[in-house]
Amino acid sequence: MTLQPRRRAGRGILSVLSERRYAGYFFLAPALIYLVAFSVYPLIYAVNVSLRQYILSKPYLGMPWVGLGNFWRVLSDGHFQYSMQATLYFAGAAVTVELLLGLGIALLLNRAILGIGIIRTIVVIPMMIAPVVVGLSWKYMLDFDTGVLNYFIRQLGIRPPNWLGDATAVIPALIITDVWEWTPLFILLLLAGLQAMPQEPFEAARVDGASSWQSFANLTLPFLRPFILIALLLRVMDTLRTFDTPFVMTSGGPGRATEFASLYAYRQAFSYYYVSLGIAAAFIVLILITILSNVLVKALPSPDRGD
Amino acid sequence: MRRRVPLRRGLGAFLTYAAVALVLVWVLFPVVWVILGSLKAREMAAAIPPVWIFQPSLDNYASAFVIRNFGLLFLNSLIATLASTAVVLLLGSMAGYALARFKIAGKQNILLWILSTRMFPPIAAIIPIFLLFNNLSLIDTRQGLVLLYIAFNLPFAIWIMRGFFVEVPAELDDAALVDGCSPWQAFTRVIMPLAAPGLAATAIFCMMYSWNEFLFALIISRSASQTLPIGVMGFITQRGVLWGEMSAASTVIMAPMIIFTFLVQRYLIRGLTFGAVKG
Repeated sequence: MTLQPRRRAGRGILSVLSERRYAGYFFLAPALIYLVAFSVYPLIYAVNVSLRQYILSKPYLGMPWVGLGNFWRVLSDGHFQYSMQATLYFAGAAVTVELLLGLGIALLLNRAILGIGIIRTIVVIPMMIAPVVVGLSWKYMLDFDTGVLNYFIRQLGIRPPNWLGDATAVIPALIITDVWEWTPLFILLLLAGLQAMPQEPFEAARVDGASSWQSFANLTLPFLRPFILIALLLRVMDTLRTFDTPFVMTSGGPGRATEFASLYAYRQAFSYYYVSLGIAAAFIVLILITILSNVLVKALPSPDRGD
Repeated sequence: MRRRVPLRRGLGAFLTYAAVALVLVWVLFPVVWVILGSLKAREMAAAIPPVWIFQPSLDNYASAFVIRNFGLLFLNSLIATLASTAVVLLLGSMAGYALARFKIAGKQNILLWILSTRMFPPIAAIIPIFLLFNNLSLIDTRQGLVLLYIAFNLPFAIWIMRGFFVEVPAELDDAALVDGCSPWQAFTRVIMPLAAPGLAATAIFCMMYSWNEFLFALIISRSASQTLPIGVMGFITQRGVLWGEMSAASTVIMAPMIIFTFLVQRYLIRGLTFGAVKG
């Protein structure tokens, strides 16, 4: 620091505030304050309400303390147990199919193909479209009588299922929709992984007489592991709280066959006004997601810190 | 490093391209089917056997946007999207810059905390916000939606902008500071222009998330501030689904996003993984 007067002309208040010593905090503070307001307040409120009984339609009851009572009530509710089972079935099946299909398509697109740039971009379109629109489009195509999919199936001489009206076909129908929407994430990430892969080990393996299956299993898959894990992490988190698509396609039906965990929580809070039970259900899902993502993160190599 | 498998010839190449064509049909069919549906007359939209060749008409668009007042919903969606994105870009790039450049106590923890706010289940977050907005008379207002979408997109913008700033050499900041710029001037005049492509990509992703957002709008907006994704549900009626109008509205919702996809193709991987993977 010199004592020479610094040129202050033309500097606004923002420049003065960003003086070097505090600069980092000056730049960080606005966003951080905003985020604290919008996440810490809801968090504290939600934790508090989850431990009390709060019924939105009966404000005169106040908010008596019930401790973990809401959690026990939700966990012992047969509808919630079914809802968790359906959610896990949906998430597990959808993510597995997306991974396998995504890996296959990424390997296919990694071959030298003309127009790969444009093909890669087209393949990503489904995940950029609003989930509501995805849901409605598939509802349109999966309609039992007038849907184009059942038209094709009938042409093949097969009796088509009543996709969205039959309790056994409806979760597969939602899985197909999710696979259409989200396989692109796996394709994109795994293709990026494949293209970053060094070629030398493969040449060495070929010289040593390894079969293409051996080099896939021993070289390609281990190299792709971090890419697979990141895609799995993102998808597991999202499928376990899926809301939009089932809400639009089935509104939880037929009966309660597709009342996944988020929809269960939504209904408790906004249809029956049992706000505490809704939040408790959402927290149970959060705990499950946290456990699963920790397992996945543990399996990840330590992330590149970038600074 | 990007050597690929050499071009194949003959049967192998034919099978490869056939498989690629199959993938493209699978990806594009639903999109094309909805666009076709939007151009069909009412009795054709759900006809069996499906109608492939027809005289296109814009009746469904007229019906959705003129008769059912989708113009207002379009405006609501547009305002919520653009206003929230503008604020997110400013706050997000400032914070991203701070976390990329400056010594900040507990930086790693702050970064992880920012990320963790996105893990919080939206359904649990929206209940307290709904009650708060109720007290502040923000229910069913565009302002309420804008405030929510800022909070929703900010963590993403901070993370991804930080990734872009890390790539701009720090010597440039130092040079600007030596030349007498304040850190704010160095940021706005030197660094931001260099990070412009990243800023544009971040803007597009934020617009995409806000434009497509469903759950918050479902709970916060009723009629005056209803957005397109909520309005389009209105075509599911007691007497059946109005497939033609629904397809028209759906086409309007997805068309800008498909264009955006092509604009951000270089940054897709970053954008979709919170910057965790640099494609």
